[in-house]
Amino acid sequence: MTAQNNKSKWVVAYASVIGNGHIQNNIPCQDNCAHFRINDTWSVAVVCDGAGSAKFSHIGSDFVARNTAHCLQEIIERRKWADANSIPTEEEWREEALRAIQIVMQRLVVFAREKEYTFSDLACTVLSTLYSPFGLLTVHIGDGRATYSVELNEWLALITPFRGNEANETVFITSGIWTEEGVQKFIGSNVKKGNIRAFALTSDGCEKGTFEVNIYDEATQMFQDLNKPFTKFFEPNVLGLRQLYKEQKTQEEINELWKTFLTDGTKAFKHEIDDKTLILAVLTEEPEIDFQA
Amino acid sequence: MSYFQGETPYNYEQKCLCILVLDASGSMDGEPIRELNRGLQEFYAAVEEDLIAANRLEVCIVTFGSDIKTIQEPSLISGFDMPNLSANGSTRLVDAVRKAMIRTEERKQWYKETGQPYYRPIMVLITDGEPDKDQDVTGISKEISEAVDAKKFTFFGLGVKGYNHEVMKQICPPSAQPLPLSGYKFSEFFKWLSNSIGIITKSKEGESVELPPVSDWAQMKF
Repeated sequence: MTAQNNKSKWVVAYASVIGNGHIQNNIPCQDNCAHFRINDTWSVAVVCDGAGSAKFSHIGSDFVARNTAHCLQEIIERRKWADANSIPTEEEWREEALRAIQIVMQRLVVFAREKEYTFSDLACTVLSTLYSPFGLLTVHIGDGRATYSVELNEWLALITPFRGNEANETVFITSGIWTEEGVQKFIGSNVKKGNIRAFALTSDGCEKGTFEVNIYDEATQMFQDLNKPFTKFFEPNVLGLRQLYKEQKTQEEINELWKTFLTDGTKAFKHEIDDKTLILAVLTEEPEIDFQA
Repeated sequence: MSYFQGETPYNYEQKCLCILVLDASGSMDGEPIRELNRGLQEFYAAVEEDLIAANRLEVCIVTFGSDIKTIQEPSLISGFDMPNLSANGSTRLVDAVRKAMIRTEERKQWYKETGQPYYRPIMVLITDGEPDKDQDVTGISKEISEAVDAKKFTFFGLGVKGYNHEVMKQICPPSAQPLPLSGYKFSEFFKWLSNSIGIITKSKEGESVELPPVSDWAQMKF
């Protein structure tokens, strides 16, 4: 993990913590994340969740998180996108994002060969966002959840996670998705323009504590994945992060507090068996509402 | 001072069906059925203690002797008390497995119809004997193998003292050979099963899953 520069207009908390099931069964934490500031405007955040069935997925998720962050950084350094007017279109971003993710995959192939790992043993998901005060550029493979907020008390889903027939099925960067059709189907990307005040990325280990993902509807007698960020979870933590910023806490101090929170700070986190990663980034001050807009 | 806090949304757990196909034929009478009952009670207690498993695991029990009985329809642990088995009759093993396969598909269909995400069901066959002569071992063997290959369920076959290893080997899919139980260590087996369910429900791909070692309860040399 790389420390955040305090001159940034954002305050960020990011951590990956091992799940109870992994502790009980002596399995390492297979989640990893990466985050750093690229320049005065842009930062990058990545969450990778290693496949439970892949032997070295903790190594794969670490490699993919770091390399994805660097490949996305390279896009910003090359393309700039310095203000709201220059933010890319969906098509422009998708082209750049797919190229970057493909480079990460190719690096992973080389890494596997050099270290003598079976490629599929490094399986992990990828959820990454380049963020600025005027927009978010997201690309992802597999599951996890992501959300952003442009207005107080309003949080919207940023991605739709890929799920198979069974609850534990998804796709990974190592999966057989690298065909023209597979890339279109399994790699998601999007651009969100606007005055972003906060956003969050999570691995699936945090989703039950932060999103409405399996809700029973009495009227239809059906269960539904609403993919709806839970405002009552996110807003208090926006305030918490801003308070830490005011108190001039270091990135390491913030992350340590965040790690403790993700471990047992809510009932859902405390009882979760899966590894948990959550990145929450918040503007240090609430943006003023432009009534003329 | 706590900087971070927040309310938790109310989400239901994803379901995992565990269907136990248990030999309650006459040969299980006495110590075997007593120990099996003890193991079942301990399995129930272990799941009940685990908040996630208690809300995730649905248990279904099919027993076989001369009759096939679904003595417990799929239910969370909170929905039933573990029944006490008694042993008598012959060994209609194949018919019981076939019934369990139907119940499994029915439950999966219900999950789908009601929009519930689910993990791959787990079927556990426990027997101390061999099927009655008129039972279609070849047929069920093919059906299980095809179903496991099609990822319809995960299958475990557990042999209790006196079981016919060759027949069980034929019934079990090549990817999951029968596991002989050491003595009547059902308690250890069910402890292993509850741990394994935790791992299975965490795994993400259809690839093989590394389960905990079986040395506590299995007799590894045939």
